[in-house]
Amino acid sequence: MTNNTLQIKNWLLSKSPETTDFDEDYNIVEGGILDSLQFLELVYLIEHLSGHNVDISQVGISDFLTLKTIEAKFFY
Amino acid sequence: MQAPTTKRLGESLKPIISKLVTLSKADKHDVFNDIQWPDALPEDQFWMSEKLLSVFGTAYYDEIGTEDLYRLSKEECLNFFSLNVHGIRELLSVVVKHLHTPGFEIVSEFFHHFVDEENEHMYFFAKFCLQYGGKMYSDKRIQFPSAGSDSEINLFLVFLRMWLFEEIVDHFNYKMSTDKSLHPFIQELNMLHHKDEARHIAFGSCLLESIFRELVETRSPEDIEALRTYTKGYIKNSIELLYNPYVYQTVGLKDNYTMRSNLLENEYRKQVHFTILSKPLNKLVDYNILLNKNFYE
Repeated sequence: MTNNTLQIKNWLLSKSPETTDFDEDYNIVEGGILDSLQFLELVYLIEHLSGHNVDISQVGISDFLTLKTIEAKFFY
Repeated sequence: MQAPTTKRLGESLKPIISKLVTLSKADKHDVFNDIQWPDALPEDQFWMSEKLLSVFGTAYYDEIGTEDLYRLSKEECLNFFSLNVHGIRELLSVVVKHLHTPGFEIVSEFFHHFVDEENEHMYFFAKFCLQYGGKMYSDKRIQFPSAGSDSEINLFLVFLRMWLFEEIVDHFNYKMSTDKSLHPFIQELNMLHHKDEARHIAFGSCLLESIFRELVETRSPEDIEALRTYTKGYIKNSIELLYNPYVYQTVGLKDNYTMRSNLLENEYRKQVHFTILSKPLNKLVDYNILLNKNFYE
């Protein structure tokens, strides 16, 4: 797990107190760790860590399903 | 989303809906022809009321020079109007989808006026952003899978979101409509929006109270608690939209993401949020949708 992914994971855990841990293949949307109310904050965090603007018109929910998909899409 | 099959939405609200329709007809205007758009707006002036700026009352505000404050106010005005455009797009898509469908017979006439008026609002907010700012701030939200198939709960959530958005916006509209430090045209647009929104807010709050009262009678305490938790989260989420890191970046303020986080955690700013949300929080407690006004807990 890269440092960026770890920071995102820690942020998600801070928003989901009932979750103690999850791996990079865990579906965070289905699992209820990421919901619509947190999404914008996650986008801003990804932008801050990556240094790149996230063009919402070029992404879909599938890009945010797991730490692995987030890493692949936004940190290359 | 479907309205409850045994009841028509707004059954108990016919008198108020009728009154709101009458008021909408009486206040009909033509924004496409009636608004006189200035060629330009002065840059050495506030575009958003100083006290409504996201940095007001913080060390950031104290450190920003006057010229940068004017620039920040312009960008925050553009952000605010952009949020209106994106929010209205969402409202329109929901309302249009249910015009003259089963269960929405009573509210459909008011929905027509709502759609008409919101379309006009979207038009003039977008035109303002593009004409005087050369841009709109983008909407970075995405469509999430629906939380569940309970149509009445989904109905409540839809109208909660609509009404909260309108209440927050109206706080800004009203303040800016009477702020003489702003260009008269900016005051005018804010007043135009405020006048129409008063009817939309009245409709939304009555409907919300009615739907929630039924939910309390028919749903489990756990379901009701989940709605309360969501409501608090949505309130917080809505306030956070007012803090756009791209606004700070455009003005040249450093560490824009960190600045945003610091502002959102600032205790003075949290108190400002309670002021912005004063009316809707009072209503939410009155309607028993929230048990207290502290949406941070």
